[in-house]
This record gives sequence, C-alpha cells and structure tokens, in this order.
Amino acid sequence: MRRLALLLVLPCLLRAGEFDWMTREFARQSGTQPLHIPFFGLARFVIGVAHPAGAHDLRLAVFEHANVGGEQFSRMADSTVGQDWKPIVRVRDSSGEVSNIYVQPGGKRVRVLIATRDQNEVVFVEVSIKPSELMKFVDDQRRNHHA
Amino acid sequence: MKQPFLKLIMVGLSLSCLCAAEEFKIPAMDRMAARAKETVDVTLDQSMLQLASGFLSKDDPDEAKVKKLVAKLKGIYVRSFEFSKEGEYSASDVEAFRAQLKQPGWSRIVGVKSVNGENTEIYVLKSGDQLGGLVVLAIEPKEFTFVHIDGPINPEDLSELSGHMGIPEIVKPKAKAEKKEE
Repeated sequence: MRRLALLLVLPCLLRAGEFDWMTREFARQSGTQPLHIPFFGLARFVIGVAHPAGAHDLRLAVFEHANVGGEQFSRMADSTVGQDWKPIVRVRDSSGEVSNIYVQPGGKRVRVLIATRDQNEVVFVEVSIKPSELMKFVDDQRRNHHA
Repeated sequence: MKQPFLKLIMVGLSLSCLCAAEEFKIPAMDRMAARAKETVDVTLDQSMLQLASGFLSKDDPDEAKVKKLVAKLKGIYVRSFEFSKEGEYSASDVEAFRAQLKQPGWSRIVGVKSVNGENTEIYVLKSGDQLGGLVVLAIEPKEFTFVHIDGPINPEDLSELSGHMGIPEIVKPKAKAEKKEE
C-alpha cells in the first residue's frame, strides 16, 4: 500500500522538483529571490481537485526587481528550462518586454511553461493541462455565450 | 570497413533531409528584429503541430478542417516584425528573403500590390506533382511577416489556416494590381 502511494506521489514530486529547480536556478543567475504568494498552496489544491478548464496543476514564481535585460532574460530562461522544453512562441518588444512559451508533451496532458519579463518583474508560470478538457471548456463557454 | 562508411553516408543524408525541412535561416531576420518595436516568433515543428492540433475541436467545423490540414504538415514557422515608423526596414532586407526563395523548386505564384503599400507574395515549393511547402511574405510599411508552412499544402488551404497556429489572419487587400506567375 505504501509503495503504491509512493508510486502515485513520486511523479508529482518530480515535476514539482523540476519547477523548483528552474526557479532556484533563475534566482541564482539573476541574484533575486521569488516572492512568497500567500494561499498559493490552497489555489494549487483547488486546481488539483477541480481541474478548471482542464488544468491539473499550476506552478507560479514571481521575481520582483530582477535586474536583467530582455535579451539576457531570454538567454537565461532558455538555459534554465533546458532542452526538454520546446520553445514555440517568443514575443519581444523594444521596451524589453519578453514572453516565451515552452511546451512539453507528457502523455494525455501537456505542460506549458510561460516565462515573461516586464520591466523588472519576471514571472514563470507552469500549467499542466489536458487539451481535450480545455477544448470542451472553450466550447462550453462559446455555447453559453451564444445562448 | 564498408559498413561504417555506409552508415556515415546514411547519417549524412538523413541529416541533410532534416536540415532541408528546417526553417529558413535568413540573416536579415536578426537585423529586422534589432530595429523592430515588437517581434513575434512562432516555431511549430511536426511534433508540436500534432500537439497543437490536440487543442482543436472536432465538433467545430472550421477547427476540424484545420486539424485535418495540420496532420499532413511538417512545420509552421512565423516571424513577424512590427516597426514604430515607416522606413525602418529596407528593400534590401526584403530582398534577402526573396533571394532564399529563388532556390530550385520555389516559384512565386501570387504577388498582390495594394495602393496603401500592403504587398503580399506567395511562393510554393514544388515536390513532384505535389506542393511541398508554401511561404507568404506580407510586406507593409510598418510591419513585415514571414510565414513558412513546411509540408504538403495548397494555396487555397491557406485561408483555412489563417488565424490558427500563429498564422496571422489573411485579409485579402484591395488589390490595385494582381499578377499570377507560374
């Protein structure tokens, strides 16, 4: 029974560990620490139970006063997330605002990582979603909107 | 002794095929990106397209069409540059893109010039009897968009893909002159 529980919990721990490792690595490279977000654990629990819009997990790290330029941020984000994550969208503007979207398929679920930099604020968001459930949610919203 | 040599040739051939399937590498992109107010870079290779098509609904007729189209493609690459004022990219920058499309197999099939300076060019890659790829250059005074669709696609399918997979909405401009070339 204990082994079964460990087998069920281990993949979640490994994924959580990867995101934590990424944020620690970014903190080390940028010299800033992620902000503590009150009740975020509760929000994750709700997402884990209710799966809103097909989301199964949500991880978030916010860095304020991260003194990194747009180009530097993009390089740091690429090196931090590693080669398992495929960059699919990169948006950059002349004010230094950068948004990178990385994707990692994992069976029926897709893990999406969004790394953004706006002035001195850096945000990493990772969400694990089931595409079919997300589409069902979008279709339902569309139907409700037209009804 | 012959086998490792053959293996090397096989690896070389498969690598060259992979490189051919890859997106265009145009130095002008970096120059334009450095001057642009905003750049958007979308890279969807075959595995990512399969993944992205999972987000498309089978129930919606439009999305179902796109899903079917995407299943055959090898990649979609979009580079879009928005400039704060006119004249921030030169004709030679655009020519660098056209030069890549003068390679064997590629031919321009559509060139649309509008009175307000919004020009569109469509190039196709012939692969036997089929079309093996398609490139759209959307040239506007303050915006330049390069779309490369790698894989079998017909130009008429382009409208189905517009607005999906990072491909901008393709609105037919009020054309002053339209010429069709073979």
